[in-house]
Amino acid sequence: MRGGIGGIWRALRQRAGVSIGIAVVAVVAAAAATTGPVYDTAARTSILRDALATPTVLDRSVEATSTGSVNNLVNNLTGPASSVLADHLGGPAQLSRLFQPPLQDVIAQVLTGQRGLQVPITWHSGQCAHLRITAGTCPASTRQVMISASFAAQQHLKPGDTITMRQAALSPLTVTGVYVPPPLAELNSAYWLADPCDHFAHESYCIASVNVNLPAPGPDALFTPAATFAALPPSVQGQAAAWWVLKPQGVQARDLATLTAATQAFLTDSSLAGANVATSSTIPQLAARAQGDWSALDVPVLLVTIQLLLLAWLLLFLIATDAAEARAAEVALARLRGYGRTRTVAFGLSEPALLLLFAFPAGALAGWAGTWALSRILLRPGTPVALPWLAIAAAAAATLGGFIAIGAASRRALTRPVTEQWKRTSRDASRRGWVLDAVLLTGAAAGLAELFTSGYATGARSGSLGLLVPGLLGLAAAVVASRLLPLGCRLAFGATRRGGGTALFLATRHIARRPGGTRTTIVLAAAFALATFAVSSYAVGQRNIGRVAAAQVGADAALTVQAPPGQDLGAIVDRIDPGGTQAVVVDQYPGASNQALLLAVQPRRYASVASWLPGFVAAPPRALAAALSPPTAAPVQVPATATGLRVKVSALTGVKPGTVLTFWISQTASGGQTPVAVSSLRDGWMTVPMSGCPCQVTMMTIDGPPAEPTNGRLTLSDPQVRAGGSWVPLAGALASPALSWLTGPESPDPTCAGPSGQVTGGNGGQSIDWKFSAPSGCGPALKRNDVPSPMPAVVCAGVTRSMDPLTTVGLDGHGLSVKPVALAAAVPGSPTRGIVVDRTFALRAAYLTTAGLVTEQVWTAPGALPRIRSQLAAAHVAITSVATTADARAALQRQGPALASVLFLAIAGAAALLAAGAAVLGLYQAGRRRRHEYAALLAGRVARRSLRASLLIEQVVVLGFGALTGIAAGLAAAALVLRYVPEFSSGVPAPPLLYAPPPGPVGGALLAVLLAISAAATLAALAVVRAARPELLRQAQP
Amino acid sequence: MSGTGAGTAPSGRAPAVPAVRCENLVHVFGTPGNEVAALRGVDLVIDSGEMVALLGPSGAGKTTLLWHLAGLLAPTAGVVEINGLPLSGLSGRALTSMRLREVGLLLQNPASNLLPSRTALGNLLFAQSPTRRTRAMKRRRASDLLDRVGLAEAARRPAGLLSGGEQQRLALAVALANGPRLLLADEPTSQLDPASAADVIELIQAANASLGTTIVAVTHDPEVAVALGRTITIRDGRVGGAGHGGREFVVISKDGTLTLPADVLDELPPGSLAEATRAEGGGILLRRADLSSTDLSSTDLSGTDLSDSGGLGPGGAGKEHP
Repeated sequence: MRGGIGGIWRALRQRAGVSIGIAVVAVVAAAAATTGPVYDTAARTSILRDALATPTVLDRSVEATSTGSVNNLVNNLTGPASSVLADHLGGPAQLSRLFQPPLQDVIAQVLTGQRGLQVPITWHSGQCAHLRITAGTCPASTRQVMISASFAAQQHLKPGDTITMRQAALSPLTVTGVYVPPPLAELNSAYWLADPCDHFAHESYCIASVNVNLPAPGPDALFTPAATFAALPPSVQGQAAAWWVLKPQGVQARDLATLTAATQAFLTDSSLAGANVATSSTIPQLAARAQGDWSALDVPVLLVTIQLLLLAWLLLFLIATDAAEARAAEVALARLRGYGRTRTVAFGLSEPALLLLFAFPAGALAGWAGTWALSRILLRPGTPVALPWLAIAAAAAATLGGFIAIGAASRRALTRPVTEQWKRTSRDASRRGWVLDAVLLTGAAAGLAELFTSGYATGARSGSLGLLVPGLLGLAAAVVASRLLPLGCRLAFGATRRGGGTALFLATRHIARRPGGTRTTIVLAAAFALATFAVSSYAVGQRNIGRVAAAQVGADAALTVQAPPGQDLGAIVDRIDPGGTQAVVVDQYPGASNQALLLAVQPRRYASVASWLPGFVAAPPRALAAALSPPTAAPVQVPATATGLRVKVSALTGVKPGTVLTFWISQTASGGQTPVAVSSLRDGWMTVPMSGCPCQVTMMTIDGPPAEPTNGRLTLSDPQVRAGGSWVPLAGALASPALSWLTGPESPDPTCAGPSGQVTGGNGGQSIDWKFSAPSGCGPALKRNDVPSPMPAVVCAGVTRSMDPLTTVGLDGHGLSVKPVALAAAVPGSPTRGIVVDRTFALRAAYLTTAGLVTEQVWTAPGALPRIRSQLAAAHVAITSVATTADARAALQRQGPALASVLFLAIAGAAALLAAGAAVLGLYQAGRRRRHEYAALLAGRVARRSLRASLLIEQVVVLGFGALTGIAAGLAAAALVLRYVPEFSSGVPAPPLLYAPPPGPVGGALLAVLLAISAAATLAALAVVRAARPELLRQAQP
Repeated sequence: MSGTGAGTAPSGRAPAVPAVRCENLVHVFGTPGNEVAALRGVDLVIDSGEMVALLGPSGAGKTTLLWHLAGLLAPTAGVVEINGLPLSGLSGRALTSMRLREVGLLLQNPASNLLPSRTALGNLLFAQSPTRRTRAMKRRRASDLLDRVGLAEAARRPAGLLSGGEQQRLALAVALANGPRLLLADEPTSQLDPASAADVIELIQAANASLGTTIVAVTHDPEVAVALGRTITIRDGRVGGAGHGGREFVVISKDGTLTLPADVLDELPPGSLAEATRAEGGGILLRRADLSSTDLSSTDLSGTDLSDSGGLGPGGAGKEHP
């Protein structure tokens, strides 16, 4: 334009309000368009890194193993495998960018010379830096070793000593140092990837139990340099492994395809297979999971971006229409001065075009900066936020859309005949076709129908379509409502003419006749519908995320622990939390089927500590605790000092020779039973040595000769334990014998249901008469009645909806019959498949040992984690991991749907505020254009307060109607749509979710916006009326 | 003036192509069923170099006629020629070109003639923008014009900050920026104080004198009418009167109708009967007829150039319809 940028700039300054409005909305449009791709790319990387970082280090590594001669393995595994992996990834640079340097481990079992003790000898790359050496130095040369402290103590070795070995090539080994094995918690690091129990078999975390009659644990490994293996003869066999651990912080979204393909190619590489190298990796599975989560992100982000972009364009149209009207006289002047069509269009659009050109880079940068700030809060720390070309292209497209919106908004002003401009004829506000309304209503109806017919979203794409429905509903409601407002005002003409004062009279007419009011209603209603839905969606999502996180973790924090050998975790927790409200022990058998997961808990503590959220269960948790722990016979306790156990057998009849009596002992700490065979059954004292107690006598069984039934009768009396060198009675063992002891089969195996019997008390409660009968292969048993059977349980409704007993998997992996005392919609710790039982009973009910089978956890109440953790550590409880509800919530918030929801909230909120601002600005501009009218009315002795009230009424009615219509549409959309919009990635076990928008956050946010709008409208009204003075009439009307 | 013109071309000037010629110009506003005839058959000739004031009551059609002369409206019927160029056959582009070359337009509101955010100089450059002059030529011409209208010192001031009188002077300069042969002005002094109005009138006269620009101005201002010399009064969409040299005439239109001046209408209100007779010694005598009496009050139209074909009406004039 010949007037130059300076002239345009002066014109923009002259119309500062509208100019700023256009600039801001255009910037927002470009920013909204930019935000989608930027956020999507960053969120993808965050999701991928979360997926890669969440599981154990081993899970995110590529592993190659080989067995054979150790001297060959040392040199011929890692190098060739590295080359293959690098080739598949695209070169060594890619390998080093994505993976840490490979970790290598070689291990072989060798025998010591004198006693033939089998000892593992190993080389683990970087071992000198990762083992704490308490004496001597790290071995550096062939046949030098470093031994564990326990091995040194056992073998009375110290640095400088030598160990004679059977293999001549190894002998003698020189001890250069003594190391302390790493603690359990350290084994999850990225360094100890090999099976720790191959290397540290003697450490407590590798000792399943010190239960009676188990073999003694083997020694810890000897650590030696790789050179030792290279010097060994081919006859020494061993195993070598190499791991390439992925660097999560180095992986970006764009790497996923390459990474997946390369890993899969590595796993199936024929050259490695030919070299007898086995490969494994779970990276492809992790990648697939991440990709699934991506799809739950991509579509919502796209839809959110498109909707908000459309809203921004609509806003731009609204403001640009006012701007174009403000410039219409100048455009007419240009045409009058002989400007042709093209030149007139260029002149008319030069100002908004300049603003759009400014908005393009500004919006792109603002979008990137906003996303960067949002990502700091929402995404995984350290996630890079780049500005990809797609984002710049999107910003350009948004700007282009802005040009189109402005062109459409200016069309009338640019094509209006000059004479019509001077005549100041205006279009009727209500003159609008029904096509747009019909299209929007049809679209909204189709979206709802699609949503309802497809049911709960099974795929991210179909579920995400729900996000389109609020926008469509909002727009449909907006266009329909925009017709109602002028109509309503027209209906009020008569009433306002007859009475109601000047203010109402003027306000109703201005609303009815001003086309800008219709546009304002549409934009406000659409924006508020989206914002209301976004706020509702976010609030509902956050609440449900909180529920899922709490239900998954089970309590505020869950520590996975390992109690010191021989100690009961329950007793430890009882000791450190005597009040019973801060911590609870929860044992789980993770090997259970997908149908149910047994949670063995301390019921009263569980009632206090676990996250029982509203809707989980109908009955109060404390009442359930009582139901889970009905009274039973007291266990027969054998004290820790016991060295022997005996019972007197008399009146033995019917048993065949070779029949054996067996005591079953359960260690208090770990549960499960260990059979301790006494000897062939006979009259008289039956004695057995004891160790590893405290423990309980849980069962006595009689095993007859194989393939023969076992029938007979006997009397048991005078149970005694040997302690302190003398036999003392076993208290309470025979009290109420008929109630305390039950007959039945030894094994819970359902095929052994045959044994039966009868137990009666005799001799005034001092003995038991036991009559037994069992088919061959199934021994009769006399079981202590200290476990209710079936065991009372709180059962998830997802497991069963019946109150009948059911069989699940106990802590020992065997079947366990439970009887629901309550059906819960969800139980803390296993929201959809949990079965909660009393831990004491579950341990007692275990047939064989539970050691090594059970995951032990200590859950803590809110605020108790630091104290409980330190006290557990003080009690020598090894803490292997800590999960908190807050962390789980954060992880869920980083899933695709939640990320999309936050994006929706952020941009919809901004768009709603912009829309409100634009509406206020539009009303203000309209008011300004009416200053002459107001001046004339003032000159005609209409009170200024009436004008003020008129403008205020107009603004409040237009803004309020638009906002309330939008809020109603948004709430309706939330009620209809939210349950169909996926809130989590597929596969997340969730308790029943709540979809009613929480009134507090939603109402509060919307009220705040309404108040802000009202305040702005009031100020605008006051400003306009204040500026209207009768003297204005001497000036030309703008 | 020729045809229906009530005057003649300035003496000493050879008859040439008239600057403006309207023949039976009709313009109807509105939509079918709701039509308003703004012009009802205007016949008008304005010679090149003339200065003409269009007078008439509000709503008579003056501004509509002016818009037609600027090529801003398409006639419902009739012909408009500007400097011999018939406008009815022109495309929008040709009309734009014609306006650029031939016509300068001065609007009623000083501010509406200008881009308020641009300087006085910028407005003049803006007006010349569609021309093919070099930028230097445009600036030179703009400076000349600013000098001529006495705004040389205000060249760098935004037009929106000028006073009303200054704005109208600037608007006049803008209207003259491309050297139009026809200057159309709509109420050029209506919003100005007397001194500013006098300045503007003087500038218009100067433009006519020095550039030979034909001036057509819609006005209610007697000072303007006197200054421009020739007046044409539009009444009820027709040329109802004309004046020259201080004398006022009624104009008999092509269909023989005439529109009486307001003061005559006081004597002969609409609906009254009048008798037109030839006066002794020439001229036509129009007398109000009172059928109940033999006396007829009379209005002397002597000296008015009336044809004798009017009054009773020719065939097809709608006599049968009251």
